[in-house]
Amino acid sequence: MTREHWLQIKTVYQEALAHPAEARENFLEQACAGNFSLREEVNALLAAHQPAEDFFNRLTRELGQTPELPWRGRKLGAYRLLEELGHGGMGAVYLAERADQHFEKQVAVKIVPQTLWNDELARRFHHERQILARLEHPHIARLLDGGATEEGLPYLVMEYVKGAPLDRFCDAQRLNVSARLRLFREVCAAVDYAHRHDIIHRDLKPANILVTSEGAPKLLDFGIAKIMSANNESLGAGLTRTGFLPMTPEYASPEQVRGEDVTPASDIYALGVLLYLLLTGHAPYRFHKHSPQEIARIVCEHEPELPSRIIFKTNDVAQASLPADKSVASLLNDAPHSRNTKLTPEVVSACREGTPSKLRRRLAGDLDNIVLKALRKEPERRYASVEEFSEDIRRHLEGLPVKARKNSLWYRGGKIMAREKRLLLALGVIAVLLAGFLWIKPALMARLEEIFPMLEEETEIVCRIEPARSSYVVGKENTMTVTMRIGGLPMAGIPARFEVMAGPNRGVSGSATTNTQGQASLAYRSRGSLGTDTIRVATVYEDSTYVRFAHASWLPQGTLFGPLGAPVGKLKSGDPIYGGISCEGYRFSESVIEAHGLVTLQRIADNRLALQIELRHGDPNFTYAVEVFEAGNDCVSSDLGATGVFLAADEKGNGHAEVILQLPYAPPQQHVLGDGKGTEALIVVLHWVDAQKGGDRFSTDAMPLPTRPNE
Amino acid sequence: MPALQTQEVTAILHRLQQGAEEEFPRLFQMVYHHLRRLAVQQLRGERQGHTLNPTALVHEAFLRLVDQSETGWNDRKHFFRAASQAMRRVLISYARRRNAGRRGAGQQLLPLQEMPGAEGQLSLELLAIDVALQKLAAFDERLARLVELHVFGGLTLNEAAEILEVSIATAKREWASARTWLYREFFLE
Repeated sequence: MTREHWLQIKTVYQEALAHPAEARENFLEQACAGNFSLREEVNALLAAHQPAEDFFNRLTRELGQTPELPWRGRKLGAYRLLEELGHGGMGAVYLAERADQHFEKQVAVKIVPQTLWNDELARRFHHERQILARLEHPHIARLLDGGATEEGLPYLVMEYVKGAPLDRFCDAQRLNVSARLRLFREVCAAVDYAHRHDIIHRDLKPANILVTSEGAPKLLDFGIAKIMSANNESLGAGLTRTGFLPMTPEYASPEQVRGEDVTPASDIYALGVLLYLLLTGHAPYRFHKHSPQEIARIVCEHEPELPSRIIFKTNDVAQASLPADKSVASLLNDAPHSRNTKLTPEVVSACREGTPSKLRRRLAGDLDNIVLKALRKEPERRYASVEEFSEDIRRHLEGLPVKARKNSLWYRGGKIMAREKRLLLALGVIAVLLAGFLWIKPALMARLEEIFPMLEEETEIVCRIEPARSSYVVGKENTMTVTMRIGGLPMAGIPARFEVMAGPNRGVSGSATTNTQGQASLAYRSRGSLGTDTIRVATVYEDSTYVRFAHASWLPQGTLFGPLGAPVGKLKSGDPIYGGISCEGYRFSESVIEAHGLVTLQRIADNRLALQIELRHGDPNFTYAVEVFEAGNDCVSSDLGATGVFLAADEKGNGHAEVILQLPYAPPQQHVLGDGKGTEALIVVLHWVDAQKGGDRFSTDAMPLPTRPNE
Repeated sequence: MPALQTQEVTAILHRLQQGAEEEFPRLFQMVYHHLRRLAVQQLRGERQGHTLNPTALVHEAFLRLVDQSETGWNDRKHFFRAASQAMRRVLISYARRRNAGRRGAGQQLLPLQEMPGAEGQLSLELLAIDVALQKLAAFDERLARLVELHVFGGLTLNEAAEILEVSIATAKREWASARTWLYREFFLE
């Protein structure tokens, strides 16, 4: 057959199929217009259409492909499948009944495609099932049974719950904020019960929380995510952790999208997302591409809008969750979402508190704080338990003071993380390119406070930039290197350590703290090589495969970095020195997405430092605390060249830091803090955590940069 | 070491994305060897041991061989194209072995109607599809690729449509044409 001939046949055949059977004859009459062989070929294809479809349906079923499988009516173990209840990322859910009619019990059967049933999965499954069988709670749907289909697809048999997804129930019933909170607390009680039995849900979302016609919530799929991810984990080596965990991105916590261990705090986070949705109708995060990278970036880095503010936004309605069973349609008959395609302030408030301004007043303060506390990026800064979360809501409902407090500058300014329980000093540097001929400090500070509203109440000025010891050098390629000396740091007795984190799209960042001798330092570059003057010093690698490029370099005190970070000047014997590490790039032998390092510096001679690098991965205890920000830009600027933070302290414990930044010396642009006239300033926000006294401390100062030469 | 393989496959996908078509055979080889290993594992683990599940195998290979954080959809298209071809070869060589084992090596394919029983039928059907598909590819390559993705690669029509960059409606129409032609080819002609 020739290509042309076939294409003609195919076209007519496809068009004929598009016509209803009774109109086909007429169509063929015209389309073939006397071409008998064409007509004959098409007729033959049409005659074979149905048998071909049946044949291939059977064939693909035998090959284990699910999409075209007619599940309805099939028997799985003791159960016969009835109708499909819903379809989601983790598979399809069917209503089923016991085939032997032994009990007239209806169940829900979940079939999970694209996962092979194997011995490992079977073992994990039986193990988990024993654990899950212990869960007996009125608000938790039970896992009854499970196995594998003939094709080898795992299925789970669960208690069947007639109900509507929590969010849609609340909207349809037009529950006000207090009623929603009370219902939410019932959900919390169930999750808390499971946590006390060491079971984490891992996939809490409205589709997994149904409300029955009696108004009682029922949680589905407890622990299922773990069973289903067991297969992937057994495959291995964490390659797939970010991409394919059966989690719902909107409800996944930062630790989940990073593929780290899931803890009860992850459920607390998901409950936070849920509460955010119940109170505002909006999701705290919106994804556009749903690529693993985008999800990871948004979940780990973006701060959600305050609930009391987001309600004034207009958004498209998020995708409908698992379609509700027809039998509960009465619960949903008046759901606003079914009528509107957009979330507007009016729609959102109409089914909650009446008007947008009433809803805002209801949410502002306590509820904003409670929701955001549950949504903290760092697990340990969320509520310590679901019970505590629920208790805070109770206190709010009863008009008692709540524990949750506003997010601090820690979040807003630098998103600097501190996980260490010990006193940890972290320096956050915010480099702001500022235009304006005369730099007036109060004006700058006022502007800063606009950007970081928390600053005013939480700042205590202790650090200061020492102008006499700060300087800059304009280098080649439109860069300038700034060295700032910041005095007044409270640094005595801080253990020596700094840690380095590397990750995709992130470059390298690190933090520095002083060691017991009062000296530690860090310098690093995000890209490129440091320059020829870099000298390797004694470097001890725990495992040389982990780090390819790490140079330690020494710098005479007060040295300025030259263009592109090459140190200028020579080290003389006896000069006080700062050790440094510059990481040109990290290369990991395993497919590790993040690695966390512990670096210790030790002075072994006047001009030599021993540098020990220990990189661990899979360890959530890492800190990265120096980040360079550009105003108005949410993320670490990778354009910045060599950046360094050198910390030192004298015997009395008075510390100082030297901050070295390489900045683009580009034509003036419209910057957040500027008016485009040419002078720039650096603003330093110093942040440290005093775990002994408790809480975050902040300090800020600013430094003018030179007027640009006229261009 | 799986991690090294993953790095290499991911790197090849990036190069393919930049137009280095000559890398495709290498990708195919790597995916093929991996799929064959997985298939052996699957058959060993299965009690009844009669079928390979392409959907599961291809997706499993994808999870193992592609660094999800480093690849976008466009890279993945190349992967699934290669994986479907590789899976086709795995299924066919498996079917040949089964067929040979039961009926003696070198046996001519018999018309399917004459084959007794359901057991082993699938193997013969796959062999028949493979042969017919080679013919189809000669005058409608896109159709043949669709069949390869859907039947041998175990991808849904939606996934196949995305890979071939056609609408789902087109994929459905094309699939209907393909299966009818194939069916006629090996049953009636």
